[in-house]
Amino acid sequence: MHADAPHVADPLLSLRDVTVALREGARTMVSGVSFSVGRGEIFGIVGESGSGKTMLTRTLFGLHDDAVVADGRVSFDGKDIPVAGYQRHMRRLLGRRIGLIAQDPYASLNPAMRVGMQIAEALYLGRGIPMRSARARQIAIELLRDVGINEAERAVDQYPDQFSGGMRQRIVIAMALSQEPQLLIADEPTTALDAITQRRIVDLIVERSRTRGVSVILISHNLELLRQSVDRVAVLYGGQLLNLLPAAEIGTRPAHPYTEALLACMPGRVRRVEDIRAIPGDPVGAGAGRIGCAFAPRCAHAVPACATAPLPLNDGLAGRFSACLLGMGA
Amino acid sequence: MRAILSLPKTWIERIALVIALLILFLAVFGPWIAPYDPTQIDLRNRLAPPSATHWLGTDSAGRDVLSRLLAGAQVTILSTVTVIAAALAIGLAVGITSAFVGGTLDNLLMRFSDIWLSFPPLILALGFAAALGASLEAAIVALIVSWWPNYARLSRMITADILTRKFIASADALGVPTHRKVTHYVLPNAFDVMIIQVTLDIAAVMLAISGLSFIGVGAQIPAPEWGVMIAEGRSHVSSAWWTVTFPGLMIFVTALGFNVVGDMLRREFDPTLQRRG
Repeated sequence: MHADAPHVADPLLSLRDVTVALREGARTMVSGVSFSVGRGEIFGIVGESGSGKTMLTRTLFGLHDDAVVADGRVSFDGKDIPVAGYQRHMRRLLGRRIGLIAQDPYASLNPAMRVGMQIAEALYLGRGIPMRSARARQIAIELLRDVGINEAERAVDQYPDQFSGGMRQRIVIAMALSQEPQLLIADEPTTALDAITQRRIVDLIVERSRTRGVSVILISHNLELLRQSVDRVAVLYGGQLLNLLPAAEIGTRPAHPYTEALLACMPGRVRRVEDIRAIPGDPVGAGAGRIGCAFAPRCAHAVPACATAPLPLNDGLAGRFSACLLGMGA
Repeated sequence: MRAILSLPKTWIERIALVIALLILFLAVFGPWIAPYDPTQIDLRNRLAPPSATHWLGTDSAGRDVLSRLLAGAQVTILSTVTVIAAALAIGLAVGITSAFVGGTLDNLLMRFSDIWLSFPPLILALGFAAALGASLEAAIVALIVSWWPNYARLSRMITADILTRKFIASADALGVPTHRKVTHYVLPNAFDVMIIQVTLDIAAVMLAISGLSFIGVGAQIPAPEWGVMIAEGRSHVSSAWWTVTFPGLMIFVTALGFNVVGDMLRREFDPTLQRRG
């Protein structure tokens, strides 16, 4: 629905020139990122390891203790979140209006608490429903059933280590949904799972969020996985937002050179193994504190100016954006 | 209870479990099943050898050794439980606070614990006996004071480890308050390790109480305490072996029993070992 809109009209979350820096040494890790997530939009963030995607989202949602939002503006549901006391303000939204689906389902459930109680705890903290009430139990059972857990009546009384990884991730999703958030953050929700389960879990997150009208930020290193599931994708590299585009356009319309390069090295996208093209050079880490395009040294189209000229600006509300100086993919 | 009874894998463990349960039974009912008053003096029957009337003989004041052993279980176990419960309460409070707060307070509390740990318990107890007067209570206080740092360090270590685990980050994202994190996230997950340590410590604390009583700074004559009984019978060991042998055997068997049970619990519950599923 947002795919064709040139602008995000009424964003739920809006970032403008957000810069993330380490507390210690004030090293800039992510610089000048602007984008908006619409209400009910499924938004993807893609990037290689070290691109800054996890650093950005963890800091953005107050989960990173060693990094801060150093500059820029973040607004949620129409209200600016002040940079001073940012983490404290964000933590207040977490667990009530913003839900989190953790990376590793094997480690993110409390092994000493029954599954039903963990959902009841989330219900209590998010919506004030008494933990031991019959209503909390009923909601927990319904949620578990809704995320595809068989025999939910039995499952609520079991401990996490009685479930497989995929089932545990479903429980984590049920917990996140239980708080009825407006925004759901899923940071690599499927890296610990096998390929088929990955697909199912992502589909589950997207589908359950769409029926509830919840916005989702899905973070992954897998462009192909995102392309099939989300409305728009933000492509991060070296701590910079290089490309923002509707997922439906990926592979059908020219994109930023880095996005194109990512696609070309994706096994599912090419017919023969010989056609897989690796991106030359090594990925740069986030936080080089550079001027110019982070991808310039590895880019096939780069001209000398790419390494020195500042990136084109983005007002944060644009539906699509390319940071390419040469205007590729714009 | 059935879960505990199904744990033993060998005969030694079965026997040890029976001993441990028997001692706990004696701690509750010992004084009632003792055939004589454990402190009743009978000077005409001093140092009587084991016989049909006095199964394990009598001591230098004619007190029935069997009755004193049975009643003594209560003194010993009650003191041990007191020491461990108090040390555990202090240790957990200090250790968990230390791990949660971190930074300077963490360093301060841990160095403070180290200082206490550097005193051998016996020396500390002697100091307490000098200050408070030699009594079972003084020995108990001394042992609490010298034992809590063990639990403080252990619980700090476990808590710090649990706090790095991802379900704590998830709890933070849900907005779980600190007190609930302590009661529902840290304590239940630390329980396995703590219970193993406690079971192993029961034997050590028991030996320490008997040891302190033996050297005269713990329970005093005529209290039916096993260490006191050995101390008192020591001078008659060549003529009346039963006054020393039976309390010694009792301490030995009890310590062994609890140690084996502790090892068994460690084997079953140690989180570093593979768990089911």
